[in-house]
Amino acid sequence: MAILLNPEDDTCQIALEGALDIGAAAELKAALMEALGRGRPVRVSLEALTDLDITTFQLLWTARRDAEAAGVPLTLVGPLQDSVRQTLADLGLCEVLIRE
Amino acid sequence: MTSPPPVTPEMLQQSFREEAKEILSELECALLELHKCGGSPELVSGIFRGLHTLKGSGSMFGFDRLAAFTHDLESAFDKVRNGVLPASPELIDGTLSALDQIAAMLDGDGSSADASVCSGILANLQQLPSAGLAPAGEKKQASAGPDRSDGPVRSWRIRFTPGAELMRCGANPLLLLRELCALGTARTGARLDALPSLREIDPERCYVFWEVGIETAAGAEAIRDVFLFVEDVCDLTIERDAPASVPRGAAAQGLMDQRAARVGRRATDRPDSTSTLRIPAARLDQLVGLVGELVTVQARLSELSSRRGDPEIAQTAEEIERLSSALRESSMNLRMMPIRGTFERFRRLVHDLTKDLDKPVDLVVEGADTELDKAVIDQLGDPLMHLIRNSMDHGIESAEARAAQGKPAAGTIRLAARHAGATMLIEVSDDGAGIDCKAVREKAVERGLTTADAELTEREIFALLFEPGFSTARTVTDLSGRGVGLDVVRRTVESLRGTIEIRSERGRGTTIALRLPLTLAILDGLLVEVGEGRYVLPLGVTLECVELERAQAERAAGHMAEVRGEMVPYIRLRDHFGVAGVRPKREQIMVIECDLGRCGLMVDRVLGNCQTVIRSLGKLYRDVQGVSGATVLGDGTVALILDPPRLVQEAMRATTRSRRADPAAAP
Amino acid sequence: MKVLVVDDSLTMVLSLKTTLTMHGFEVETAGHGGEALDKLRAGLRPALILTDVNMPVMGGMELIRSVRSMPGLKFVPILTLTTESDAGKRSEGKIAGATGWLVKPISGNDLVAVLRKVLPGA
Repeated sequence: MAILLNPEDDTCQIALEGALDIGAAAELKAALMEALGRGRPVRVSLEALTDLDITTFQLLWTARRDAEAAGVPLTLVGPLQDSVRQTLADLGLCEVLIRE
Repeated sequence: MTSPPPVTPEMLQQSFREEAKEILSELECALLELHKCGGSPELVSGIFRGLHTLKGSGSMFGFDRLAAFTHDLESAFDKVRNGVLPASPELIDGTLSALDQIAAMLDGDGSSADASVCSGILANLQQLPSAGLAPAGEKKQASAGPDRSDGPVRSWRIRFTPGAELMRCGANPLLLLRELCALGTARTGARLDALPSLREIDPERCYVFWEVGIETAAGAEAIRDVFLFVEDVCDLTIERDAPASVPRGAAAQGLMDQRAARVGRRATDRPDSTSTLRIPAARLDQLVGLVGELVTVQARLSELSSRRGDPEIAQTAEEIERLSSALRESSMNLRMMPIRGTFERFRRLVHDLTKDLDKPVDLVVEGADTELDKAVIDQLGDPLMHLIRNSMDHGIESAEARAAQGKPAAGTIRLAARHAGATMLIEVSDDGAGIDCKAVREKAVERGLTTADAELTEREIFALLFEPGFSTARTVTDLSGRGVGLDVVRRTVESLRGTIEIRSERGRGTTIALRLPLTLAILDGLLVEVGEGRYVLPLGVTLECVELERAQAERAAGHMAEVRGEMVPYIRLRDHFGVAGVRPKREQIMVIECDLGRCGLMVDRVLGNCQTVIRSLGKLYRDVQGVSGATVLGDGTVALILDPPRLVQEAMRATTRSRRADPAAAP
Repeated sequence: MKVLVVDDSLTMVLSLKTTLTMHGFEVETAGHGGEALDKLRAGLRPALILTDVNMPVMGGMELIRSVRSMPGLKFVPILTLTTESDAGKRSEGKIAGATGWLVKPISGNDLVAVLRKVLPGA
């Protein structure tokens, strides 16, 4: 869960990969807090994410909500894999995470 | 994916039977200890755990009757464990007899268990103060499955709000929602109202809650079942069609039961028995047999290599010798097991006999961890049981008689095991009346085993006890009236290549000592030569070897030789086996220890040490006296394995017969 | 998918192992809580733990509490193996941190159905 600083467009990038669940939640929260703490636009790439659970969703969703409220743009970047779509659908959260 | 292992229900049942038998014997020991010492909490939880496993596994593997029967016992010991019910002698005795019934239920179709005895035992348990055994609890299996179409399709509205602790016990809302939706056609709506800020959020807690509308034929109970594991850590409402709320009585009741549950009981320690592997004894025997063959072939190779004189072959042969000896050592160790199991079984016997005979007796066990070949252990049970019964019946006096002699009211039977060289010494001793030589003698005369005027030493009189059909019991009790005498004990011990010896002091008690080889399969011995024949003399009984010049032997009176200043009788094997030919100039006497004391066996030559695999004798040698088996030597020839104790007895009898036939011939 | 089965009854272990293996699970076993903890400390990361409650050396409750305090295993699903009359044990297990329970006797199908309740991807 590396946070990459891109000097060209001055953004923070977090690339999520594999199946993330509650075991990784604390780490994800720390990464999101750190990225937002820089005050720069944040891009979270979900392309390589194979699955997620409710805690992962909660963190991504609150991070974006809080960032927008603070005037820092946080973008969740797809496309989402099918397994991730299915999980979100089963959680009743299909349209909530990604605005397409 | 792994292919399905070939485990059948029958195999599981058999596995359970074996396991249950172990548990039963552990339970028996624990109950007896409880009876004796009033039991620590560890002991009681151990008993509870044993019963619990019997019940749980029994129900799993088709022993329903056993499981149902054990349930009440388990409940009783749960009460004991919680201090509600005392571990009374009635409870212990009742449970002990229940164990016998459980054992019967394990065998075959379980029909040998006596239903009336079982219900009697349970009825007695119910009588115990504050026992009031609870019926088996309501079954609460969370068995998810779509086959819940038990009514018309209805619409339900479910609101599921995870509590703070839900995620911490490994529950996953996603799986619950999937299971719920699988019941019918559903729409799931997530509510995010409760999510705090990123800074405040506990990343490991679920703040989202859900509202699910579902059309399903499943009832409220089935819907609730989805949330069975989380009902104490979530808020759940289930509403049908209209807003009317479904009463939550049942769930709330369950919740309270759970809250009232006791917390924090620890399992107690027991020696770690899990890092072991269970192997059928037959497979082990096969291995030991093969190793035995290997040792024989290796001996042949060594012999061959020494004849060829090729250094390369010699080196390889030595290497193989070293390896096969190590292999022999470790494979023998596989069959070694502590004698504890056999010893502990007798606690129950003594406990029961104490009541039957009305003689209080303590059983003292020593050296239970001493290890012995399983093949020997397996055959020791009966002889030891007989000896203990004998001590209980004939040895230990009645409490009044003991009191009159100033002995403690309770008698003591000591069961002790220890290693003595290559043999195992097992002693059964009691502090009872000792053997009445006069009575034994009278009885023997009565039975025609000896004559009234025969001069017998104490040793010889004791030896009469082992003659077939001898019994000194004044009455035929349940114990002695089984038609088994000490002669059977002697025969069993001798078939194990062991010896038996009695020591007794009038008024002080009796000790019966069994000396057994540590293993049956391979014998350490001395290879000796008599004429053309070769014989193996077991090392376990051989004390030393002395040389005797022929002239010296001929001068000596009769068959007696001086060994370290002591005159020792000896048997000339040439005479015994009828070997013709010229005797060598110097002969060797192997001095052995037997139950008649030290004794010599005269042979031509000692060829050296040997390890041999014992084979049972073919028809050819069955009638040869004093021989216990045969073995194939390195050069392929056959050697007979001598059985010194029997050899000495045979020789003695022969002497006695000739003495009786012709008194003048006595030396 | 790896399942750790903890039970002091060899027969239970054998039976569960057979059923689970037939359904495509990989099975590790331990004879009591202590042995299970040793394996977990040595790096075993099962997707699910099935544990008996009454065991020598270390019982199920202590095992569950210990597992929940291990960093990588805080949220691993744990099911207790109980009998019908064990309602107390079931909730005790829940309080200690178990995810759920199984009630013996249990058929192979029921076993797998319960596993699906708590094991993502089973």
